[in-house]
Formats: sequence, structure tokens, C-alpha cells
Amino acid sequence: MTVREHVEHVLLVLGVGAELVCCLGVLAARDVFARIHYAMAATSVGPALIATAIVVHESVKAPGINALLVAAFLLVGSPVVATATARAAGARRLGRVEAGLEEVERG
Amino acid sequence: MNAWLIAATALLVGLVPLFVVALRAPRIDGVVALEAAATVVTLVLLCLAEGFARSAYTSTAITLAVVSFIGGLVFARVLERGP
Repeated sequence: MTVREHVEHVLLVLGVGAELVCCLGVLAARDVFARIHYAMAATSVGPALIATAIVVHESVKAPGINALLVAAFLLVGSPVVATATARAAGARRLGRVEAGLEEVERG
Repeated sequence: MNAWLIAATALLVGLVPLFVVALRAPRIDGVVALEAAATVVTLVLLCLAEGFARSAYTSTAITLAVVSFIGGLVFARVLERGP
């Protein structure tokens, strides 16, 4: 086994491990904001490591470029989705609080 | 079975906790689990493309990344206003 294959396997194991930890984190988190934190970690750390492993395996050819493209898209796009989801969660929470206050005022 | 196929199988195991969250947690938490699951499946497709040595398969991963991005925004928008 060459050094290149060792590097590739280490990156792959780290990437898969990071993804699994993030998936378990989504399950273990207590509220939606903590879950968003773990989900966004899953879109940055794991894809970057796995895309790097693919580039090490393939060099800068079509599969390597495609993998980098996917990782870059996830890295750039997921904060936008996270912000939208967090805003929706905040609005839902605020809506519940306002509904509760109205109920209290009505008696 | 090479390392890439083993990695894809291990990543698929990571979907189990996300399914549990999507089934049992509130709706907005389910959307977060769905977004994480889309990322995991995208990586599974990349690993399968490498494992089967078919570079054309990576186009499905690119497509899923784009579609899940749009889907996540739509779900967030709907849940912000809806029930």
C-alpha cells in the first residue's frame, strides 16, 4: 500500500467518522438550534475530507473536480439553508409565545 | 468490496438517527434532520461513484446537492408561515 493510499484512507475514515458523529449529534441535541449546529457541521467537515480523499485518489480529473464542486456547493449553500431554518424555528417559537400570551389575557 | 463502498455503507448507517429525529421530533427539527440526511446521501453517491469507478455517477450527487438546497429553503419558508 502506497503513502498516497494511506492518506486517502485516513481522510476517508475521518470524513465518515465526522459525518457519523454529526448524525448522532442531531439525535442527541436538545433543541432545534443545537440540531442545526450539528447538521451544518455535517455539511462542512465531512464533505471537505471526503472530497479531498477523492482528489487524492483521482488527482485533478473529472471525478475529483466534481467532488470538490459538491463540497464547495454544500459549504456555500448550507449556511443559507441554516439561516432560513433557524429563522423559521424562531418565528414558530415566537408564534407559540404570542398565542400563549393571548390565551392568558383572555383568561 | 473496496474502501469507498465500505465508506458508503458506513455513511448509510448514519441515516438511522436522522430518521428517528424526523419521525419523533417536532416538524422543524425534522427539516433539520432532512437537510443533514440529504448531505449524507450526497456523500454516499460520491463514494459509490468512486467505488464503482464511474465518474458519470457524480452528476447525481451534484444534482442532489442542488435539489436539497432548494428543498431546504422551501421547507423553511413553508414552516415559517404554516402550522
